[in-house]
Amino acid sequence: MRKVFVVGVGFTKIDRFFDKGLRELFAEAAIKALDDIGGENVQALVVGNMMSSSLSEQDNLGALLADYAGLVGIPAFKVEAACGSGGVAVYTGYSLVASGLFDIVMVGGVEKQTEHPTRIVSKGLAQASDAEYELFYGISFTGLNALVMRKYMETYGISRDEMSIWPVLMHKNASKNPYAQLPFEVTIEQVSSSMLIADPIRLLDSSPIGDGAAALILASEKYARKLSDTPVEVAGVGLATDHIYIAYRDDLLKLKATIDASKVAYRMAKVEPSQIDVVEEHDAFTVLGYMNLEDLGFSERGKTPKEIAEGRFHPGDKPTVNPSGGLKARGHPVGATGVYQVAEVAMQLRGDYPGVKVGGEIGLAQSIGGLGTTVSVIILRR
Amino acid sequence: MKPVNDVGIAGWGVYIPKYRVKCSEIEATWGFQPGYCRSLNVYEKAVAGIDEDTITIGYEAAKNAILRAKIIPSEVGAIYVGTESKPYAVKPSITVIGEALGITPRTLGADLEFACRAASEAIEASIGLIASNMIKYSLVIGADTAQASPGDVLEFTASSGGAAYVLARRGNNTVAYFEGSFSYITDTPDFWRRPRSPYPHHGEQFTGDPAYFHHIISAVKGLMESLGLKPSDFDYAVFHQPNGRFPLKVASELGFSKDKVLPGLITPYIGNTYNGSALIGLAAVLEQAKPGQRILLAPFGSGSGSDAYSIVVEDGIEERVDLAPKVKDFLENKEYINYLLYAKFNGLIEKFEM
Amino acid sequence: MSMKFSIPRTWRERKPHYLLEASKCKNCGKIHYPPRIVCDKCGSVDLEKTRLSGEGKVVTYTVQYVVLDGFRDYAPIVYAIVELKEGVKVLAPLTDVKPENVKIGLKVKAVLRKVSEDGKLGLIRYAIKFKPIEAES
Repeated sequence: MRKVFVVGVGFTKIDRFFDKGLRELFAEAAIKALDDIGGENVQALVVGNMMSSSLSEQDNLGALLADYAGLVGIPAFKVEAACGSGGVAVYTGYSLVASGLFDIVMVGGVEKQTEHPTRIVSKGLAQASDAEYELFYGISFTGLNALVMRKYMETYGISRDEMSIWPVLMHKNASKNPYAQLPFEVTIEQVSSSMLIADPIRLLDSSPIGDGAAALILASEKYARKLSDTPVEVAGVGLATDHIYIAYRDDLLKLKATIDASKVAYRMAKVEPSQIDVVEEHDAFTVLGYMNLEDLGFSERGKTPKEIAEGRFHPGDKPTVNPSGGLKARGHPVGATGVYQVAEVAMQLRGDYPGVKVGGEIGLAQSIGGLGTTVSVIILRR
Repeated sequence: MKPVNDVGIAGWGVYIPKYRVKCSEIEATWGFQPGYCRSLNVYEKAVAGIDEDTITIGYEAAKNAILRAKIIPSEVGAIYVGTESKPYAVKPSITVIGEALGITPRTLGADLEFACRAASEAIEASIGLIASNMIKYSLVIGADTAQASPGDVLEFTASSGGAAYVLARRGNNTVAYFEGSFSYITDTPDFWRRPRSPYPHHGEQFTGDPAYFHHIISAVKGLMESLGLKPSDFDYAVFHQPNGRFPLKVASELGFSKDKVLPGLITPYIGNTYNGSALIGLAAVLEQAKPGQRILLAPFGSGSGSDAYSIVVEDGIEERVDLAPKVKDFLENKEYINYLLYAKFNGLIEKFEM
Repeated sequence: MSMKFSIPRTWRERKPHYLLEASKCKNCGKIHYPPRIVCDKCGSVDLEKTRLSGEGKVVTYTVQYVVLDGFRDYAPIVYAIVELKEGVKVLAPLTDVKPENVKIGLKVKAVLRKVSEDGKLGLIRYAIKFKPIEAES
């Protein structure tokens, strides 16, 4: 397989954009990414998106977005893995270049969650679960994650306030992030007393609903230096799935798909967790923020809350986790998030990240679809 | 009526939802004179939970009956539900219950309607099917989530609950058998509901003498005459119980003493469960009756009709009592709710699909 | 009227929902709920139907206040993962129980209840929910 490099990035602010639809948002991100590579042509487009069909009545998304980004005619298609669509899109784009089929590929991600009231969006998001045996009962995606949060807290003896440390850290990081959806700090007290959604998950444990679009340009080694002064190598990729019906799994306190995907990515990149400088992981809910670090090999099961309370993973530590503010505070435009994460890690490694700067040599992005049902891990190296 | 082969009861079961609303709560809501319910001899009524209906109630009662009968559900050859509160106007309740119990597909069955006596009609039909050896076991369910127009006096008594009976050839697992039965039916419009009406109409005083009393008395007298029995031959008398007063009055008119009626008089504590009414009363009696004792069962349904059965208890009944929850257990397992929650559970608060 | 519930799905999914009908691998013995076509333990396609006991205990639970469309009547809804006697785990709502009385380890048994309705005119979905075992007798 050939080496693949991230040579360009572009993304929009994350917000409720009532004045922009899928095509406008995506075009904005795509144009920025194309500018980043000096306007060179891309040969194919892979788009990550979850709900264009259920919320915007739009299928055939790849072709639509290629058209509106000024790329009509090129090979283009959408990939979907619920909230992990972005990570899977990067994985797919990587394979298109690594295989030799293309030299320059755009990987995009876009999501419009604000076309409808929350309750409609919630149903769309809940489709990440088992339609016949979970969604059937009306459990929301938050409800599903709440089952895990309670188990985590009871098993490891973690208090409500200890859980609240995560959102506080995320918001602190996002307060320095110019494109974040929620760029303001919050206190433990605010988090712990915020509105209950599905006990024990509260409003400030959950990533917000918002719109956004991100794009990356991936290129083969031959084109990497031509298109960028600071190409970042995609050193390792891993993707794994797990039983979608969470009650079928043996252990609710770990996401096996994260463990499996990260093992493959670490092996491919020939790195250990201890070598990672910066991480953007998929903290859709507080409990995942902690569990992801355990599954990715950065901390021991159940110990993460205490480690974070002691300062681990904060800016300045190795690795620094979610300097963007994570899904919690940077935002979570669902299908686009995985692409944002890789763009962010790339910008960290090449030195021009606009928020909390970490720098470093090696970075990792983790994107989750459903409750750990599909997980991708992408490792970048400067 | 006597079948050529005796048919009996192999198992019985009831289900009463745990929620109760006090009559005094309904009195206060609609401005009735405090203590009005005392004239009905009803204190509180059972209310189906938000996720319960005739199907789920019937299912639970049936499960309990099957437990007591000690049979495998697939052996049931007919399943009937007598109800006037079907979840679907057209689509049987017995198919859902039958599937959920593992009785389908090789079975007879249908939902029957004859106000509160539909389940009783199913018992009569089952006796015929079993006595003729067409089927081995029949499962008869009487269940309702009775509705009444809010603010109408019927609201004090219309309640939710159900009973189920597994019937079989006498000697085949049975603990009581039907000595004989008598049915009496006329076209008497004491209580009805047209399809587009959410609630029934009733004839107030007319529901008394020309309807309830005339038909029950006629059926019971007809039964006693045909079997050569008198009230003193019976140890218990269980009547359809739309309130806590009528059964005592009809018993007195027929010559049955009060102490024979009280063990099977459950309505004061749970309201009128319509198709469950007399059958829950019968279950309460079976849970204390001794072998050899004789029970009069007289269900009544508006429209109108009544049946009278003479049931004789057999050996072995005491061992079955604790195989499933008893009427007493359901009476004790209760949680009071206010009128607001009762209104929500009964769908009285109108919502629009936005 | 626009129907949201699929008629074939309501019919096709009824046995697992009404009866906790699971599949069992004739080769390695693993019991699968929801029922499967291929055993995920040994790869065999030689599976048979089996019914689960419906008795178990709560492994974890949540109380959902923010509900999906069509579920407002039932809110707040307690959802639990219940581990049955057979070792199989099932996700389902709890019923006839107050949220404050639910705890991990609560003994429960399966009952048939209404899950939701497709408006006033469409189909009614029935399925297994769990209620505390101390409820009656």
